Amino acid sequence: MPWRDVFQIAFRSVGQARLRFTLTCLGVLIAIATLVAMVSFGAGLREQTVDNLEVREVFTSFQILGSGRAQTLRDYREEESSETNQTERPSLNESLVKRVSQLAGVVSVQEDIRFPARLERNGKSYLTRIRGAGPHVAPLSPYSKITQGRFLTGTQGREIVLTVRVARRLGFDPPETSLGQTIDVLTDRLRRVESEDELPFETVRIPFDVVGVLPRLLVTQRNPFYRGVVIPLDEARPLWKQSLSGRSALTAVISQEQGRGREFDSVDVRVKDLVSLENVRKEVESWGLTTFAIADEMKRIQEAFMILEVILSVLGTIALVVASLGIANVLVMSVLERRKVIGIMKAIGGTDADVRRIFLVEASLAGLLGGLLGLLAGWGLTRIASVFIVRYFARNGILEVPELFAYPVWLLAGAVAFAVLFSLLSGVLPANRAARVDPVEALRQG
Amino acid sequence: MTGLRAENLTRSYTLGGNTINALDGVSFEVRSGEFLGIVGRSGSGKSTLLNLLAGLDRPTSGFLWIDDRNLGEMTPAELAWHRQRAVGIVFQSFHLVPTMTARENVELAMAFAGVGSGQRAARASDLLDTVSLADRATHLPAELSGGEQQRVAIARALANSPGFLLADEPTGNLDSSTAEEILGIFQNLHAQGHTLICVTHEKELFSSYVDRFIRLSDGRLDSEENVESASKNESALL
Repeated sequence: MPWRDVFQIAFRSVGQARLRFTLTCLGVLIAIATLVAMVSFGAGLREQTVDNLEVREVFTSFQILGSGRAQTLRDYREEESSETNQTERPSLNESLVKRVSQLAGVVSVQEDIRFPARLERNGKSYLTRIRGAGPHVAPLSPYSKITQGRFLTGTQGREIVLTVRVARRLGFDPPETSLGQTIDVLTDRLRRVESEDELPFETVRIPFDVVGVLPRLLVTQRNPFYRGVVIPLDEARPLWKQSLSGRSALTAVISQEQGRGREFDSVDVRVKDLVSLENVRKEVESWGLTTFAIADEMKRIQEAFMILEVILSVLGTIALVVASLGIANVLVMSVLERRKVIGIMKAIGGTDADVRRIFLVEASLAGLLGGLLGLLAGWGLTRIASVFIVRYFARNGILEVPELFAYPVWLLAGAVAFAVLFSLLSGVLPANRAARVDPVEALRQG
Repeated sequence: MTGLRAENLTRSYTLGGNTINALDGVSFEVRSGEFLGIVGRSGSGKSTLLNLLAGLDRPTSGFLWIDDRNLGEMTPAELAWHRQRAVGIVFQSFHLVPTMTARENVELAMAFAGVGSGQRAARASDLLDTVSLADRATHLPAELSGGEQQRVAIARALANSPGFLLADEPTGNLDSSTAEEILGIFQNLHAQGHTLICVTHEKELFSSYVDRFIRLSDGRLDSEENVESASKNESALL
């Protein structure tokens, strides 16, 4: 029997049992809607995170880590120390910055400066870490996402960019009221003492003008390396050199005593392309230093999201399996009810294959229609969820909420294909049962 | 040979551990163009025999040749082909697909045989015209009388121009005048050279139309009886 006739008969059959077919489709619809909503959430999270990291600058830059951060990275990766002996390893200081900047392919080398400081304004204070930043980080998240005020324009000038959280702690509510205001940055620094009664440090107070406020971002949008309060690099450098707090202070004292100068926590290196990235990293590592690039972590991040998507897919698939059982049940009932018609078909020349195909097409139609409508319903569901999520975060101070759901083509096509496939599989048993109907028995009972 | 030959045909069933021979060593022949009536009491094996001839069932033993093809050796697909092309079947209860119109029921048999839709429509119209149902082509079976349904069933049985028309009690559910109409159609088909095999318990009614009767009794061939041409003509005139 030609496929066209098979489809005609199948369409006619489902048309004659509209309510049953509608309910069957509804089962598939719910399953696919669930699957699409879940997987689009996973895909959305991945897109957000990966897109955020896939800024060209991130992939053409790497960090040379100071001994402390290098050890942290090795601990994280559960690696044995491969760094050479501390005395042989070059220190992360200005001379190293100069040495690295002379390597072929290097665009810029910038020390990463962070130090603890107290921010004060009208008697309110907040202890935080301040970072020195140059214009090279302007295109990176979160600095690229400033909507209140602006980012630092250069490496000099007493300008400061706060975060929403810090601004609020300093009494600026709403945070944008801080723009144009002056706040004090207090930090401790070493000093020479004349007698044993004096403490070897003093507190310096430097006024800074607030020029921007960093928005609160979702975890997926945050940059693991760049965040927090920032001031121009040239302003940060002298404060960092003399800052005195915890481990930094100890390191500073030891370094100064050893005549090595203070070591940077890390140094940011930008290169012109990916080939240079590899070459420069190799060269730097050959000196006994540890480097880190986001690209190293991309695979781990991708794997983590893949696992998340698989888990969400499995949950959605369970719904689809339940719907498939519904389809199988409906088709088995249909076979029982249509035994006589099956018998007639076989008596006038219908083959087992013809009968099997009719039932499989009916099952596929339920899958196709349920899948397409489920896709639509899933999309609608995520739109509604999106509205609620945006409202929820807005109430919690996160105004810029990215699209949390993604609909890649593979999801759209895969969901419908999955629905048809599952429906088809669920139709196999009833279809075989229909194909095996004995026409003599069927006609006798009919 | 063209025609049909059954040799020592047996069909057994096992029920509750007992073997029942619905047909027990039946042998007969039907010539091409012949009109054969199969008579016998209820349970004598008439319908079982017709199911074997139709390829709806397989013999337990024995041989059944139709136009030199041995039905006992056919695969399920070949038996389906046999039902599509070699035989047309008319049932006592008509067995039309209730959700299809008269035309669609006739076309369905051709669809299974792979006939194109244009050719099917033309052929269905011709056949419904032949059985005087051209004006009822778009009616569902439930909207047709018993006689009309049986005429649709005959049109369907003839759809793929089979060599044999098999009928199982074709007048059993019809009143006498409608039964005569159906038999009139059979007579015309017979006159056109079709080979007809009808199972019936209405021997008197059929004796005016058939060439020969075979009688089954308890699954065995009890007797064969030729119907005289004179008696046929006489009966037909009456």
